[in-house]
Amino acid sequence: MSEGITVAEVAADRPHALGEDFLQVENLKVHFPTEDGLVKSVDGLSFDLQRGRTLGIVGESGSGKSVTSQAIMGLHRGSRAQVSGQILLDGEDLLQVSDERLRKLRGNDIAMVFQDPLSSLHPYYTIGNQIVEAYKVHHDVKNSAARKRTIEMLDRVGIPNPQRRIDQYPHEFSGGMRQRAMIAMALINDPKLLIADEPTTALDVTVQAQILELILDLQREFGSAIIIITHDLGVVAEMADDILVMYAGKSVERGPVNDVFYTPQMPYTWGLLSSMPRIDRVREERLNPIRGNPPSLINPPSGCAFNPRCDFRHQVDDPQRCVDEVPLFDPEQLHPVRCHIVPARRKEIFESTIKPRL
Amino acid sequence: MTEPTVPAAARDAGETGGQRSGDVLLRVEDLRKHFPLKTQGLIRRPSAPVKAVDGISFDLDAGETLGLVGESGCGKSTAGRTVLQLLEPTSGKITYRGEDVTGAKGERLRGLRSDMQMVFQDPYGSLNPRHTIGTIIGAPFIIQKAKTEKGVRAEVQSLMERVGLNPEHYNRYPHEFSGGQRQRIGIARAVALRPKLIVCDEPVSALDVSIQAQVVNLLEDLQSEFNLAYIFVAHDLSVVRHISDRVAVMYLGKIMELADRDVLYSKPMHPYTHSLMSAVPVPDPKKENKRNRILLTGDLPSPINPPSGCVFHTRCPRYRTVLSDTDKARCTGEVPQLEPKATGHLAACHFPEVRADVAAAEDTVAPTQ
Amino acid sequence: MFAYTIRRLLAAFVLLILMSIVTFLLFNASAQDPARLACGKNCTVEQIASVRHKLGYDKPIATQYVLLIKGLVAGRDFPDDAATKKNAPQTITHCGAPCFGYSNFQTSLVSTLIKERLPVSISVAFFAFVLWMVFGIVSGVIAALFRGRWPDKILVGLALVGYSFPTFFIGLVLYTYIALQWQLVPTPEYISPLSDPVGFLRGAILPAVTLAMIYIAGYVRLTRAYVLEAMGEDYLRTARAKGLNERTIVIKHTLRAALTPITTIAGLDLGALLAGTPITETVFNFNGVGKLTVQSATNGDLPTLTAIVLISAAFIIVANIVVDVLYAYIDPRVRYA
Repeated sequence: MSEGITVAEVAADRPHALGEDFLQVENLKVHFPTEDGLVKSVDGLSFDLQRGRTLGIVGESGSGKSVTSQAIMGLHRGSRAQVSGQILLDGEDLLQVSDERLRKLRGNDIAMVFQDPLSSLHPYYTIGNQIVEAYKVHHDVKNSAARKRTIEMLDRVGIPNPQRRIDQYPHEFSGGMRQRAMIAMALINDPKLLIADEPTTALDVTVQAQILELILDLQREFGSAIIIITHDLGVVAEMADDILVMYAGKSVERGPVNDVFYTPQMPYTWGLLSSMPRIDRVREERLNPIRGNPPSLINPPSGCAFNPRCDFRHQVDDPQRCVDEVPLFDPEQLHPVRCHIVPARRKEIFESTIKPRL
Repeated sequence: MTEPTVPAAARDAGETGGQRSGDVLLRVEDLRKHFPLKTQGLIRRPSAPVKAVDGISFDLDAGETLGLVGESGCGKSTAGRTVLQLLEPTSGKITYRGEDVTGAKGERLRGLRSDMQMVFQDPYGSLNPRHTIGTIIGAPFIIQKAKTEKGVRAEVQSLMERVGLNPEHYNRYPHEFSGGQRQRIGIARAVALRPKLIVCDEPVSALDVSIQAQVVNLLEDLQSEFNLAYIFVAHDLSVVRHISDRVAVMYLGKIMELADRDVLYSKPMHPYTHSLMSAVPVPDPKKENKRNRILLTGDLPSPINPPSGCVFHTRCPRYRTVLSDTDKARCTGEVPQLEPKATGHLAACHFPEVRADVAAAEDTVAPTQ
Repeated sequence: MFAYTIRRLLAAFVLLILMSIVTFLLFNASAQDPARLACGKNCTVEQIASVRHKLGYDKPIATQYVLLIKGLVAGRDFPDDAATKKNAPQTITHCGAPCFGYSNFQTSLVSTLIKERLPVSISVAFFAFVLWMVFGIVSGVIAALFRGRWPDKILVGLALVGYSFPTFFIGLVLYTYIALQWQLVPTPEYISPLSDPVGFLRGAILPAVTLAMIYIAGYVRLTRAYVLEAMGEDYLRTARAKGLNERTIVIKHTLRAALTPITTIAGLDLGALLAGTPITETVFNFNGVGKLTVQSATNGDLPTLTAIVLISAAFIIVANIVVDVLYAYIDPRVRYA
């Protein structure tokens, strides 16, 4: 305290260090052996999340965002995937717990909403059957009680006529209603952590608006922590408290939502923001795409995985470092960035070059 | 109610939604595409058809981009395909360069095909996996028996280079390319014969954001180079805003609103357009928190039995909250025609209302009235 | 659903009529005189004429077809002629509905022949069906659950071997070793399952196993493929994410999806077997429709062959309908479509 900084100030500076982190992911690696070589889908990812907060994981296809969510659910168990690191949920390492313990946590403490509600629901069973099953596996109750609870939940997520709809099959529901049913199924056990993996990507935009609104509403009511995984920066802007940007299986930038949107620091994030057409403003000139193609996960570029596509390598004192050395990512910082350009220089580039383009 | 919705006189006076150059390439009048269905009873007879496209009219100038937006099931893709006569129109008239080409067959249709092309959404499904990309891009030359100066191969390779593919990859197969590159292949095939019109059906929806921008830029470059007209079918309102000159909003097979891009996004009039625009999340957290979202209730009605009168009235927020009973009777009883409500701004609504707040477009260039 | 079933039945009826016309025409298009065929090689001209008259081959083709159909619906007499009926009623053979004709070779009505033989073929086919469904599906599921490991490799390997041997070879090997050499089962013979179920099972085990063998091989691979496909479905990921135990995941979620398409195939396969299995029945000397088919084909016994073709077609058509209707009950997506 000799420097005159109070604990509160430190905490305000580093909100993720406040209290106990509910979910801590440490150096998570998920590798898949294939005939062509080892696919490093997630390669040393760390982040944490507190109760009642929402983390948005953003990235393009192949960035490892969905694989991360499946690793948290333990869905890679029994497959060929090699998973290492730590996933602590309330201090319990999900990678170490027994299958039986994990089974008890799944659906009860951690629940998941998937991208495509049609293929994620079993076509041969009624909506009610599938939700009742999700409830009964964690609660020793009679069918009638589970059914009553299911109808309540369907009603809560905005499905009209739940007493009738409960006995219908998924194909009799519209896309939006199916996703509502999925959310009802995920929330029926009042989970502490909800993972939504591209929950609205398969939906129309007016339906997406309804579903996002519903998720926010339910979070206020149940206080769950949420991880929302998406490629849509608009969706995270609406939903997230914090944002984690992933590229080639690694985190490249993380921070509170306003910091990442208004003062992004990583050239890849700049590229994402400036390549997007915007509904809220006119861009008279051409879009600024990120050049090149997403990297191979089997032979990712050495050093910084983004270096072959990066327009700002010359801004590093020794550009060779980008090829030789993986930039460090300090998860203890408020707004960590995986980049060799020195922070002051990055701020300058953003203000002078990037911001006017956005 | 089957006559063209915009009188010819009004159209000539620039009342077709937006500022126009006047060089009309394509005119679509009251185009309909209905898909027949059969009843489920003991004796199956044709029942009410699915009205996928139900009387749309618009003009397209040479070198212009018309965005066709709407949600799934609104008929925008069917409309694009029917305009190209990949689907046979049920009724209506398609005029290309002053000539009625509706129902063209055989040789005449093939001639049209070299002027009108299509780029598809799915770059995986629309390329034959057993053909090399040289064959794929060269196919239009062979089919149309087009003469090439230096032979098909040289022509194809220069096209490949033009769309940003390595010409040395002439003999490779589609699976060896990434999604973005495959879309470039599809585009090269479409522009091979220097068409005048390309219908782009969700050309970038399957692509990642960073790749999307590359393809959008490519489409824009080719447009200015070859003076192409695009009908750009998409559900992504942001991409449509970027690429289009004019935009038509579709709902249940009908055009609800049609105007210049800037007018439509800054001063939308139709309640459906309001909901659609306000639903798009803006990648700007502060704006996003301030925004007023107009949520639609209920599901899309069936295109087999669309609602009477205005097809949108069952979900219309204005109908539900603002209108008086006599006004409501008009919405349920009378089909609103797509007609000018302001200069160059068409809407199919009995009670339109300009709202500037919905697209969060406060920094838009002020529209010219 | 009811309307759908009725519509299918009507269509099937029309199809059967068409089948009967085509079959009838095909057999009559034969270069040989049907009466001569029916009478045999050493018949005199008078005998042939008498047979021709008796079987009605002296009538115009159209009339013959009408008589065939009339026979099926209402029965007919051989020879169908008023003079004989009056003068020598004792020489008339009455053939009650459904009448498929008269076989001069077997000196018997075809319907009598079929009535004797059909139960043999049907009971053996059902026996084989049960065997191949149980063993094929269980092995297929095991192979899928142990994908890439030794149970999978062994089962798939065995299936391949089973698939490679022709039926007559399997039949002969089983007959020679199991029944004759080692006498593990009694010599195969047909005993009616209605009078002696255990005797039937013991007597028919070898033909049933022979018949089932090739299907088991196919069903192992089919089941394995469908189970693996179902295991890759998104809804299984959902089931896991709910925290269900593996048993529920496999039995309720995977098998329900994987076995549905197998129902279709199994129904059609069974339908095709009901009208006899020529090779198996010949190898084990079972007097079923299959063996009758072989006999009739060698002898040129046209009435019998026509009957067998029609009955086989009927079985397959009915199996198709049954499968479609059944499918609608299993798969709710079809039910409402």
